[in-house]
Amino acid sequence: MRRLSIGRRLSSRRIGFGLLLVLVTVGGWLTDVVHGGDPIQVASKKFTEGALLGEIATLTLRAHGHEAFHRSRLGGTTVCFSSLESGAIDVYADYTGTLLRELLADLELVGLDALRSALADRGIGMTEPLGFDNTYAMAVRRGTAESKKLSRISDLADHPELKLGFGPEFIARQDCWPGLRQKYVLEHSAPISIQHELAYSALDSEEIDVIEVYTTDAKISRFDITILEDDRSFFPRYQAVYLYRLDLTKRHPEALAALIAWEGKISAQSMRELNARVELEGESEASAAAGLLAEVMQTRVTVEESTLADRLLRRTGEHLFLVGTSLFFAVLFGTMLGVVCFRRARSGALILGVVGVIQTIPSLALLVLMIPLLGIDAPPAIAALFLYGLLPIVRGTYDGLRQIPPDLVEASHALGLSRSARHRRIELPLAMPSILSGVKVSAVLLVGFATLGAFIGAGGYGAPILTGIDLQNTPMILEGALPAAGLAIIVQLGFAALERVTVSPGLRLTAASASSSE
Amino acid sequence: MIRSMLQLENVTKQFSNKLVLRGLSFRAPRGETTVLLGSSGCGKSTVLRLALGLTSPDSGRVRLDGQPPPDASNAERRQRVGTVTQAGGLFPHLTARQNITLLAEDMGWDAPRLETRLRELTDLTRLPTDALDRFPLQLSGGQRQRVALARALFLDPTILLLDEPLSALDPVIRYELQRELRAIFDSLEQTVVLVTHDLDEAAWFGHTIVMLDQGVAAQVGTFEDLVERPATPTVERFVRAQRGHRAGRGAPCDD
Repeated sequence: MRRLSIGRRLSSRRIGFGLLLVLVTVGGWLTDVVHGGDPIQVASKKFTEGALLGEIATLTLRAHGHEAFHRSRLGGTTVCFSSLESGAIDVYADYTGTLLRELLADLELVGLDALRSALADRGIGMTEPLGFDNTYAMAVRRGTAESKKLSRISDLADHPELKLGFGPEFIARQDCWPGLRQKYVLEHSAPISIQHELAYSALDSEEIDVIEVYTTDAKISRFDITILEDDRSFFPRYQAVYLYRLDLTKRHPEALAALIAWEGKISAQSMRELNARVELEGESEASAAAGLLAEVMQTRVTVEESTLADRLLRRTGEHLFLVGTSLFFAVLFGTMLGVVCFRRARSGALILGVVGVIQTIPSLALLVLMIPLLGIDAPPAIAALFLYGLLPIVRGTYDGLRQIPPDLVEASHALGLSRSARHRRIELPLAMPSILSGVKVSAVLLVGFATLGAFIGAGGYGAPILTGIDLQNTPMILEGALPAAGLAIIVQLGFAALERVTVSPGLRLTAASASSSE
Repeated sequence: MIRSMLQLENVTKQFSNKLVLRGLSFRAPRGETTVLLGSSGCGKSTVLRLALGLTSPDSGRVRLDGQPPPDASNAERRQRVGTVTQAGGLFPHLTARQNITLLAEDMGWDAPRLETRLRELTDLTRLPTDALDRFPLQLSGGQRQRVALARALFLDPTILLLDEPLSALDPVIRYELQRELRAIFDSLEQTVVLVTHDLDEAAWFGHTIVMLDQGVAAQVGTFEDLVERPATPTVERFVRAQRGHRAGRGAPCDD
């Protein structure tokens, strides 16, 4: 009976409960640490234009004497919106079309007033449109536009000889080409399917004559392109607006006034220019945003550019924090769960099953699932990493204990060793190589997984990787990828060293190396 | 004072449909060596596991020093029993020294006391001092069994259970160890129960030999009894097989 009591003490229900408690406590504490004080939390969606609008808001607030913090490229629409709803952030920029057609599509709202009141029900305020739309448009070479007198999409109907080249998605989606064709009665031959990135060059080299663009696309300002007016209002409007928490009106009324000052001030042309400066010329978002502030608001702000060393140091700190904290808890609970698996076959099968299933949840889904519980930033990332890190450790502990030769287990009983001595001096050291290799696998895995933390604003090496992918900026990707790879190698080496300390040399011997002299 | 250190009365034991012991009775007297002799798979090792309380009989009675064998709730009584198994049962992650002192350390002995007792036992078992800091895999087979013996004797056990302790060794070393071991047991007046399949070894060690066959004691007696007066045909065949072919090529095949 006593032999089973460690299993009973660590029954899976209690572990599960304890686990939840610790996660919630630590998560809450971390959230407090990260959100300490009361700066205005600005966030942005993870693409250049979003980040620029976030930067513009942040610099504006700072210029008006507010403490503002920008979580650049915090995540996709869902992440940003739910963070705003939960109060983790105060401001971010989005588009009316996105709100009406994606986020609040269920409500089938019509018009900005309906949208504003629906948002107000959620404690969220919305500025008037900032001045530009980011939606689909038809574009032609300026030369073609002039020679064929094209200025509106309906003008295309008179020129069925023009060759069309659209992205595969644009061709397929009912609300894109098929709808457009019907609305404007276009009788051109079937469009060529071409990737958006290549379309500009194909247009420039006159292989095709009409392409679809986003109205604020950086490349438009770098090619000689005319955008045709959507004279029958086919494309939905995606007007940029700032969304903010309504309680900001009480907390920082002047701050809100500063943001509202941007209503109607940013033209599609200037947004295109800003996008181009960042995406095509490699200027930082902050400095491009500062340029707009100077131009439109006549406000001068100084932007401090960080050095590579600064960034590396900060991201290494963030990354280590994510990996270290999640690994700590994964080791703590993973080994305990491994012991339970070993001692109680039935709970063990269940635990191994559940931990295995967790591993199959797509990482992004897991991260997003964590947001309602733990907000954004490090806590949800740590919780997700913790869950991912469990399997190798549970498995390693379980296998390590299971693989102890039965005659040694019997010998430890036959000797009459106390229970604690059996665990401490026999079972643990004998299982150690397997436990350690589980922890090592987990650690290396987490170094890689932690880069995904950048999707929910947890920072680390993933941030430059994600931004770099968006900007197609290879040096920036490497700025995150190389240190991450380096860290993985260091972790690997660190565990080799740890193995020398924690695994008895007697277990590293092979029978071949044993001497046989009497 | 109870004369028998270990006593089995009509013990049966079954492992997954295989009846290993079918009513075994014998006693191992204090201060003597009792040998359990029999071919492999005859249940010899099960007897030792019964004595340690690592398994319990289906029926019948086991008495260790007049009491029921220890179970998980009084495992410390196992400390009064020393065991050596065929492979030595040494822990591969501990040095020879740690293996020997493991239990006493767990019981809280201080360093000088451990050291003194260790010295006594390395002398007794003639274990070289430089072997103490090696790990089991770095020791020879003979050294491993000396370590196992030193560990078994460390707490001055009331009974020593040896399960084929020498059968994995090569013949020369085995011969030497047999001589040393008997001298040690005699000098300590140690109660020993030794399991072996080897008639020679049984003859050398045994005050009493319990010949096991089909899960019962086919014969209990001295070596002479077994040779001169085999109780069953099986005993006779076993003895003849083990005395072997020492007559050499000169002997006829139809003996």
